[in-house]
Amino acid sequence: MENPTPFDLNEACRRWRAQLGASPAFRAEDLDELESHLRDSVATLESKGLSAEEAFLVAQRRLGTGDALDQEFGKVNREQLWLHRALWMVAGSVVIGTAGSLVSVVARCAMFLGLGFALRGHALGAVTVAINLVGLLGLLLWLWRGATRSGGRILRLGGWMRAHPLSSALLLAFALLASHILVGGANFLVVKWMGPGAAGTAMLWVALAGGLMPVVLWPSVLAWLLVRVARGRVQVSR
Amino acid sequence: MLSKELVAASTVPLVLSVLAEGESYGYALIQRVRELSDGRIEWTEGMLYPVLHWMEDQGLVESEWQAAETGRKRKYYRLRREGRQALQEEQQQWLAVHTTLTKLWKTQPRLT
Repeated sequence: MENPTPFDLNEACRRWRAQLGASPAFRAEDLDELESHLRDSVATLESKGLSAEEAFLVAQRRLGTGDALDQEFGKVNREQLWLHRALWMVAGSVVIGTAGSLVSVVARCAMFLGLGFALRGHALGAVTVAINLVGLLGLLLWLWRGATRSGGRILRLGGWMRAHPLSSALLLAFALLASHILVGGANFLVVKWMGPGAAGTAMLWVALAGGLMPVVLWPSVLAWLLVRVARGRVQVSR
Repeated sequence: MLSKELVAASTVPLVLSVLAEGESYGYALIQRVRELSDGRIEWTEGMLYPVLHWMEDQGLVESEWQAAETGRKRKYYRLRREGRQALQEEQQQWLAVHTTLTKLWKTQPRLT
């Protein structure tokens, strides 16, 4: 059957390049060099009588599959790989820090709501902590789903961040600062509204949870991840 | 066809030897090796580049982008002094293996 759309070598090269470029193992210069090779190879094969499309398919196959190339280039570009890992770790901790603060602000708003339902002291503190915990777990689940779905928001966000490095750095720094200021402001309002005595008992719960949550939550998340990885259900990206 | 292990071991001496003939780029290097070996040495072509980059890190070769006659740019590699020394050492080692095997097999070493 005849292919209705004519083969476009530039478009095919562009798509092939984009596919390889998704892996951090390749630097832009590596892709330039591989593309130069691919085009040389296509030109030689075409001169032997192959059509442009056939030549491209053969040249691509001779160059090697994405996985094999990825592995070999990764061995040479170790620093590049670690830069990407460090980027994800730091960006992740800033995003989680910011989002955690925003969850705290929501929990403070719930405190005011609790006051409306005549909750006071220990009851108010416990409710606030519970809302905070549920919010944080919900957030982690949301991030996890966004990361695991193909073409999910985390990947898209990563792409956007790489395309706009300066804006994303400033935006992340601002978000972290602003969210902490918001939490401080919310705490101030709670104490001012309820009076230091009444707020004291509830805030004691909040302070205790604030200290305990990182100690309990993060090791639990870490343990869960380790178990998943060990079972081989989650592929550790190189 | 060479075994995977032998391909891995012989890539660096082959690249050094081809570059000793003059500067070259990846695609031409592969063509030269294929032609000289009568097609018996076949590389997965893309695998050559990490090796070239490793050799550059080791200071054996240096590279430069040059415009080719087609107007497209190609990355040319050329030997550095360290590369020539490495080639001499490789030569001695490979010839030692080669002469030993040819004596054992009682065939004449063909150095043409």
